[in-house]
Amino acid sequence: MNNSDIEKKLNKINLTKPSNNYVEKAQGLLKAPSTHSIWQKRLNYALGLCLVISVGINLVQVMSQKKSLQVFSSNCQTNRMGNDFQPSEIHQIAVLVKTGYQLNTNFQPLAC
Amino acid sequence: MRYRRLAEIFKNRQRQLYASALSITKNRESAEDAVHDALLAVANIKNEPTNMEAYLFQTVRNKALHQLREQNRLEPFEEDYLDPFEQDESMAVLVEQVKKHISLLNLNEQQTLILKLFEGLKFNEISLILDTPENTIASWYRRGLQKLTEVLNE
Repeated sequence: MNNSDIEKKLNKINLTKPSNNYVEKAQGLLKAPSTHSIWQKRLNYALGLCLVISVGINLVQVMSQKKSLQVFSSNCQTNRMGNDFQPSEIHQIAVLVKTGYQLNTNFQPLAC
Repeated sequence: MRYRRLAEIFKNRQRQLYASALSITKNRESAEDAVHDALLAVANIKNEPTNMEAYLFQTVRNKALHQLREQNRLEPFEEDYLDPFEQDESMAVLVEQVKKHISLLNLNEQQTLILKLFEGLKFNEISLILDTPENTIASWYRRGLQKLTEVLNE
C-alpha cells in the first residue's frame, strides 16, 4: 500500500469523542465571578479591618490600665498616715491613675 | 471580561482544544483534565496575554505534557484516543497497529498525524494549535505519514 491508500484508510478512523460533561465542566469553570460577590468580598474585608482596629484600641487601653497600676504599686506602698492601703483605697487610686493617664500620657503618679 | 473572552474562545475552539490535548496524552479523561486545568490557569494569570487564543493552546499543550509525565511515573494511561471499530475486523486491526506504531514518530509528527487524519483538522488549524508555520506542519505530516506507511507495510 502506498501513502495515499494508507491515508484513505486512516481517514476513516476517528478520535474518541469527549465525555458529556467536558463542555459542561468547562462552562462552569468559566463563569465570571458576579458583581454581587465582588462587593460582598469588599464588605467582608472592610468589616474585618474594623474588627482588627477595634481589638487594637481595646488592647492599648488594657495595656495603659495595667501600666498605671504597675506604676502605682511600685511607687506607693502606704498611705500618708503610714498605714497600708485598704482595698477600697487601692481601687480609688487605680481609677485616679487611670484617669490621669487618659487625660495626659505624661502623667506621673508619684505623689501618693 | 477575561472569563467572557475565554468562554468565547472555548465555545469556538472546544473541539481543537480537546483534540490537541488528546493527541499528546492519548487518553480521553486526561485530555479533558488538561483542557480544564488550562482554562483555570489562563483565567487566573496576573497579566492578560496579547493573544489569548494562542496562549490557551500553549497552556493546554503544557498541561497535557505535564499530565503525561506525571501519569507515566505511576502507571501509563490506557490509550483510548481512537474509536474502536468493533464491527469491522480489518479496521479494528488497523487501529491497533496504528496505536502500536505511531509512538515511533516524534511528538510533532504524531500530533500532526492524529489531528489531520483522525480529527480531520486542516493544516491552518493545526498550525494555530501547535503555533508553527503551515509549511512546517505540512512537512511533519508528509514525513510522519511516510514513516507510518513503511512500518504498516512491513
